[in-house]
Amino acid sequence: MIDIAILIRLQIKLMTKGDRMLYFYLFSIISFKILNYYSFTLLWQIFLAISNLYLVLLYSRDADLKIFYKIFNISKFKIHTAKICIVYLLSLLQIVLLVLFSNEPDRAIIFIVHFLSFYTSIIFYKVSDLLKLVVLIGSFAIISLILYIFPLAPCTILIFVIVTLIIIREHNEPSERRKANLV
Amino acid sequence: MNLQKGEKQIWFDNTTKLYSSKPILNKLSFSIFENEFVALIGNNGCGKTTTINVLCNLVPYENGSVYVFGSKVTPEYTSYKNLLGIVLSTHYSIKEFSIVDYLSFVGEFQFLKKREVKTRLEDLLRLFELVDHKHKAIKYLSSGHLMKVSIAAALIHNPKILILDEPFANLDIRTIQTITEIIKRFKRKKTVFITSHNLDLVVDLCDRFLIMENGRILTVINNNEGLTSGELKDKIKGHLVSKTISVKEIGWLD
Repeated sequence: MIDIAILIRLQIKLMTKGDRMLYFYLFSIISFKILNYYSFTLLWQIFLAISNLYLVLLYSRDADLKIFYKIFNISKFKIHTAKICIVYLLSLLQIVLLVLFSNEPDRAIIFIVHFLSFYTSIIFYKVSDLLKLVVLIGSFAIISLILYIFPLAPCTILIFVIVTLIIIREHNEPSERRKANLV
Repeated sequence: MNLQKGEKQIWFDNTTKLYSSKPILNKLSFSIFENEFVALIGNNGCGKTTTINVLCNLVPYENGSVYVFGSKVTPEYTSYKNLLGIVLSTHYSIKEFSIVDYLSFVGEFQFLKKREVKTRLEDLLRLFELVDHKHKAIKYLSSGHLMKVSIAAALIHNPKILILDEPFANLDIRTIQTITEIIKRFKRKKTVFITSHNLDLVVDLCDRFLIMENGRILTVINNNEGLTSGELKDKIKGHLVSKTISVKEIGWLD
């Protein structure tokens, strides 16, 4: 458990480096201000896309730390657990932001479900191809169902698919390079 | 005089590591004893870095066995790594962090208490003359300072074995001197396993030299045969002579 607490601090510290966290929250605040002012749905979509891309960054940066984790005996389980904790913390902050700036609790719920189902797909996509497929279809179905109940623009689904593909690309390419460097 | 004191801490027994079906380690066998200083020497591509990677459980091996502290290295046996201080030729530090932040995290991952980390961190910063740079991000450090940080990170938990892969590569004379002086302080106190191309430095440092070629140990030279540094270097160089043709044999280059 101590490892996980240290890992959470490490991940949060990593996210704050390069001002990613700051830019992310500045962007969310500004987009919601504009969203409220114009009631413009497209901005909402952009916000979701940026949130997803932020998670991509969280994972792609982590790829550079694989040897670091191996040297210090940090298991994948601990790394994922730490990240899940961070995502839940982030989700909590997102709810606060949404309540403060949009006054639309329905959308807050949609956003959080979207966020978590998406994150679940990231965690499991590399377990096995079959499971990855099941989880991706499952996440896709959940989001679609929610969007059917609470209609938003369908491009959210497209964003979800594109971002998932980016993650897979981001994850595969550096790992091949690392394999070559290690031998 | 027998230099092999203490217990056997590292033991490669007919270890084979394949990469794309080609053996990088080819039935590699050698052992290292407690508090020994051993250098692994060989030309580029002979398998030195792979030996280190296998020893540190960073890559799996296919055949044979590797034992560290008496237990066989397997994907499951990883606890021994907390007793190693590892410096790889590819730096694995977190480049965005400052030296202080990075070493603090390393200390915590090595199960040191926060107060202990702070004390050791201050000592290491003074030892490696890094006090003036301690808040600088690692990505902005020179290669010399980066190597010092890597060695400091490898030492913060006071490991039993220090593993150094090419620690003198791309360093200036002053940094090499500092690092050599620091490593010398561990003589008879720690086990040091080092790979290097710099014979001048390892000849003065090490008790034994494992000469490696094509993934196996070609010969072992002991530093207790009454040879001078120069003679020892010549003896080692004799095993590393290039087998390629000379420039004179290529008419258009001559």
